[in-house]
Amino acid sequence: MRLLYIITKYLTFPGSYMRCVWEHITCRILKLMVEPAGYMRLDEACGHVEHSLAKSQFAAYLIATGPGFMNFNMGLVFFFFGYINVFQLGITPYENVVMFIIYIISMYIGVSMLCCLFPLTEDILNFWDIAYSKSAKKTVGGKAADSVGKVLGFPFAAVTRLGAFLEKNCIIFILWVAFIVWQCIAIF
Amino acid sequence: MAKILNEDIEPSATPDTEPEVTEEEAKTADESAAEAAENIEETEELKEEEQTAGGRPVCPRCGEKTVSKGHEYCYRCEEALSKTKLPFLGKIFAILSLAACLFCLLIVCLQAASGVQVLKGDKYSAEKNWFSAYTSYNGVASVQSEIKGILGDGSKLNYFISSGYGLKTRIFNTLVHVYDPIKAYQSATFAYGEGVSEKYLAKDEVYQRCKAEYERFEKTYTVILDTVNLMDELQEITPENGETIISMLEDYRGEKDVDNVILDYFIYSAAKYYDLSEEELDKYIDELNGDAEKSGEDFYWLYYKDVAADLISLKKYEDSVPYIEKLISEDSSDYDSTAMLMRVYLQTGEKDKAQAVVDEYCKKNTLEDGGDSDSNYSLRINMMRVNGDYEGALNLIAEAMEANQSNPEYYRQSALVYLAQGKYDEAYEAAYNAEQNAYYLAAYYGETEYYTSDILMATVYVSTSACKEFGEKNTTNAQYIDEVLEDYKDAALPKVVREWAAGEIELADILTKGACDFI
Repeated sequence: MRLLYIITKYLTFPGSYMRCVWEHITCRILKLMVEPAGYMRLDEACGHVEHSLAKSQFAAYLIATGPGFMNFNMGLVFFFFGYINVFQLGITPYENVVMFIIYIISMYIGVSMLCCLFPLTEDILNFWDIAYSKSAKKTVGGKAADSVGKVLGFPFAAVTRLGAFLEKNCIIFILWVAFIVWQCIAIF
Repeated sequence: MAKILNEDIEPSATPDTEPEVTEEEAKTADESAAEAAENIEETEELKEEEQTAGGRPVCPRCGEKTVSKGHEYCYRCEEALSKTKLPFLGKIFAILSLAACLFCLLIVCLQAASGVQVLKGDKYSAEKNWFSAYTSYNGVASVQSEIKGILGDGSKLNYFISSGYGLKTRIFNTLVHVYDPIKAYQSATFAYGEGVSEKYLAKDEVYQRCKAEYERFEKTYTVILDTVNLMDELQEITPENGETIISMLEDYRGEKDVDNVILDYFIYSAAKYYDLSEEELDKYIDELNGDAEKSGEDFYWLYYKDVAADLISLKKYEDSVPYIEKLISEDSSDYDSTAMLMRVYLQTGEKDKAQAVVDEYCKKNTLEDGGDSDSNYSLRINMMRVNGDYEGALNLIAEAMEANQSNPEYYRQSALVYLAQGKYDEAYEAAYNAEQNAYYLAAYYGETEYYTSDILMATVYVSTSACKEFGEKNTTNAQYIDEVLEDYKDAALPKVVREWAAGEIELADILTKGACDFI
């Protein structure tokens, strides 16, 4: 599974690398320590940045979801840029080869970013532990604000936790490949 | 290090005994003592250092400073690690990707409306509402044209505002279902545009299928062309001439390039044209169905509508229903078939079913703003007229004309309502306007199908003839009555209209069972 994970990370190189960049920037903002060990290491942390765990709820939440949020937004834009033109407006290589290739590359970059949305399980579990465990400390703003924040953040945290598991086991990558193949069969 | 020192300074076992020490042994002992003393000093220095740091570990990164409790690294290393620089490649990627993302976002925003049109078209295609799908797909061109107008002619972004052959194939596919494969192939240039890539067409399955159908039809027609020419020479429409023609057509069966089903269709058309008996028509319909079933292909587009119309004219309403239902199942926007089914249920007294058919059609074919489309209005007007609600029909026609004043069908329906009410002058005026509007659409928009349709010809001829015979002829266009009738002198009018012209049937018969009424 580790080998498969590394292979998918290299196959989705643009998304993996960009995720590392956003993660690194987020760590710099939160003043978390970052090991300068390279982004595309051949281990379980491939496509992620080795960093110290955040201590506060907000920092832990931001490091878990922030880079994925950036990848998600950019990935959607790149993906739809190619998808609308190829699959809906029907641009083919028979009329404009250069633009067709650009749209395909854009879709590839978009899909690769959308395959690299979720953090390592350690990060999300760190947040989960800080925010939802019995020993979780109260945040600034008191009990009411803390409860509201936990309720509002719960869906995103739950999705991120599930997503981290799916990404770790390459399921998201497989789902995207299946979607693209299905669209190609339906349209072409 | 402490263990060694302890061994060196261990006291001797017999303190009372003083062994004899030689000079050499004394020197060695002195050296050992000096060495031991040095070791003691080092150990004490180390102990002193440890005691000074409070027992804290050294930083594993720099190996120099100590690490505070609860930290992994020393203070300076922690600060350095929290400022680890992004790699140069990462910075370049980030800047380029942000710039590219902004550009792509702009194009996505500009193309989004076109994409939504295609999605609408796909939804209608999935529902087999082919005319609505065709309208939606065609809407992409107008949306893009508007966007380009906003951007301006010189804008470089216009290069990205385009559509491709994939969309054209979708449009072509809707034409295949709205018309039939043969007509669609003949209008392929309209769908794909001039200069379409031959390589693309070679791999376009929809186009290739239509081309195959067209070639099969053309080949059969070419073989029987002599017989078709003979039909033009035989001026009289009599059963005897019909049997001659059919017998000649039968002789072609089994020849190379002659398709059985298409030959059956020509034979059936000839039988209909020459007014053969009901039994003969039934026989040819059965042959047509049999050969179509044997071929294993679906030929509903070739003859179902004609057969359904003929069965209705023969009052075989129940027999016509399966054909009409098949047509509607293949195209839920098929107005003609829906109108036929409505008429069948009205004739058999099943008014609720007729209303349900109309309601179902209107629900699927409303405009985007929820209003009624032209075909919705036409159907509802038709329903009211055949139900005898003439005033309601005229009111609905007035409402429909507010939305679309140039639709010739609304004038034609008005003419039929006035004929039913015995208002022949108004009927003539309405029919005249119907023809004028149809001509306008044909001449300026290329929509010739309605202008040459049987139902328009029949309505204009009957209204004009009735006005000439029964009307007061004091309307605006009454001066053209003779001219109109002269134009229709040699026209191929439907059988019931010819019968009425010959005085064999009454006007009411045309309005209740003739070509004017439901197709």
